[in-house]
Amino acid sequence: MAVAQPQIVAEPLVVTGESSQAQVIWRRFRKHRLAVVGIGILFFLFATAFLGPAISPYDTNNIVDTPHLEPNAAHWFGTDEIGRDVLTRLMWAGRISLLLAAVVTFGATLVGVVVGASAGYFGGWVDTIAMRAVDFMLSLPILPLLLILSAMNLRGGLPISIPGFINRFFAWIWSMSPERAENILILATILIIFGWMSIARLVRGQVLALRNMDFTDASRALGVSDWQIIAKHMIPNALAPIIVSATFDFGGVIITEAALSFLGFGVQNPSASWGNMLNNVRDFMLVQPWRAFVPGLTIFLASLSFNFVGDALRDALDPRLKK
Amino acid sequence: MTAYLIRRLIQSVIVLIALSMAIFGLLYLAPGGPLSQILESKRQNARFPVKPEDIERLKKQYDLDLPLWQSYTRWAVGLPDKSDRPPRYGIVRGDFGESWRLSEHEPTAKIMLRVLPNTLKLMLLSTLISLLIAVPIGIYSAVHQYSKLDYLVTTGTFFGIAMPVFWLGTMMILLFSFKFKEWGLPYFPPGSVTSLRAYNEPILGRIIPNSLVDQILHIILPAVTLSLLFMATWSRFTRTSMLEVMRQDYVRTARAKGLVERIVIIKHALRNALIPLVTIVALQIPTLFGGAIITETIFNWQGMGRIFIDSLFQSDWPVAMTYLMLQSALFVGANLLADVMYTVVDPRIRYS
Repeated sequence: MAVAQPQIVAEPLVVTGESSQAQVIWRRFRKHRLAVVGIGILFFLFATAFLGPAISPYDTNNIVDTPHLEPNAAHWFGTDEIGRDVLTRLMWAGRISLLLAAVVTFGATLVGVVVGASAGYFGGWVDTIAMRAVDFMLSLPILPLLLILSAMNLRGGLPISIPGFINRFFAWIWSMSPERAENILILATILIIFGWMSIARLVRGQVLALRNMDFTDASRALGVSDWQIIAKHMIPNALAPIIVSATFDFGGVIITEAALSFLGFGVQNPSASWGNMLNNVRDFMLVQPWRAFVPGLTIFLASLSFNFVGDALRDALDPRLKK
Repeated sequence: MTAYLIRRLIQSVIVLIALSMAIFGLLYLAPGGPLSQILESKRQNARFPVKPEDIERLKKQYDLDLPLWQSYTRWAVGLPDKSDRPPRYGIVRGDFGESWRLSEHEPTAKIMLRVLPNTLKLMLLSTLISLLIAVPIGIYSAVHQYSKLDYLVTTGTFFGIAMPVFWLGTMMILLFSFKFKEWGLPYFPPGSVTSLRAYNEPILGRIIPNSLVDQILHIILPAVTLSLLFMATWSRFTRTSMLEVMRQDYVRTARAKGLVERIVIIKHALRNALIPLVTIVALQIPTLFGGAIITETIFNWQGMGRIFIDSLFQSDWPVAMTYLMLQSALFVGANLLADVMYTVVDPRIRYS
């Protein structure tokens, strides 16, 4: 009897494992009030970016009214220098900026995880080459390089091409020509090329620690292949720090893309992005100051929210904290 | 240590060579070649149509008619010599080539040197501002851990990190240049290094172009904008470093000796807490240059970053390449410097 009791106590933990873990994470996450606000802001931004344009009575590139209108009932944020609705453009810009940042974060994380996991798991020359590559990339001045590569991209001078169906898909979402979409996707590729290193380092460290654990040896003894061990055991166990890092990266990519677009080398007019909207208004700042304020604030809030959420996730997903 | 340094130095040189090859190759292999943009703009000028021999002449002038590797080695080391064109000395001997568009036929190194003082002025001032503000904040925050202000600071660093520099700069111009002028307050000029004409400021009176007051008025907005970029990181760093040091045994010893808390903090803890900060500042010198690209563009500050952006807009690739190579050398150098400084300021660290 005395022996059986602990087993009964242990049972509910196993049965409700899935949901209770999520509940634990949410409970810990909720303690960061700013992160909860951040989630709300992000939800709002994504919702307006992807649903807003459908509700808006205006089109992003069409001239719909007199130029330089003050904010009013018909145009909540007024109209720009050629008479396009600013709010509509802001939502379309969000669609471009957020989706681009999502693609870059996903791509960079994927590359980083694959490189880092193989480096950590296989060790030897794979590890040496991968880590030398990371060191090399990290010793480069990223911003000037991004600028020079984006400038070459705009002149059609980069030997990168994206498969047509992907271009057409994004062109459909962003309501632009496939050529323009390809240009933005090449920009995303450049950002991925310069964005995978920190995740690779992180995953390598995690895998190095996991590789020598008993369950890895057990799987290997059972005849599980290397890649299956990596995919089924290494990566899931390293998932928490990967998610945290990707969340921070998302915010960083939003800023980087906005900076490139602001400087004139990212998303090009007439397609709107938060960065180039801020750039366009520079000559009209005196007449329409809110037009400089609103896109910048959106970038700031988006990036800030991702930072807060990342910080809260770091605590919430930490398996060492049990509460 | 010496062996380690030599190895690092060799690695750095390899990084620079690999980068220069990659970028040079990309430029050269671009459809239409690096000249395409220039030819396009010349073609639009109907009065002087571009003849095929003009293109040939331009190509020869810029070494674009040679095979890629020869073009590269002439640019990098000045070899091989060609009897039919003027000699090149290569970037290793300080010959970065001539500008194509921004300032035609002027050596790019000369252009960079001309604007370097502006960039240095801006960087020094903003480093000074951020250190003067970030370090005291970090110390206070560490000494009063979990206090109201500490909470404010740790949350504030998030705001600092998420703040887009270009928005901050734009808002500064909007408020301190345009609105202040509107409200009749002393305002800061919205851009440039100095004014071209004399202007009137409320309270300050008439400002003579290029006078000290004029220069100060111009530098304050960009310097403050640039410094905010680092304040968050540096104050957080000082805080962490201080917290770590305050837990050390010798600090407890100092307190046990009965020293005044202020002496313990300033003479014992702070001196050691600043060690890692020194290296962080060294490591961020190149980032400062990078951040200067955006800041200089917003404030129309004629520095290296601004020249770089202009060169990209006008496809003046020699100028862009010069900037990139100088930046990379600086980046690699700063990494090396940080490593060396680490061993100098902290004797416990040894490289093998």
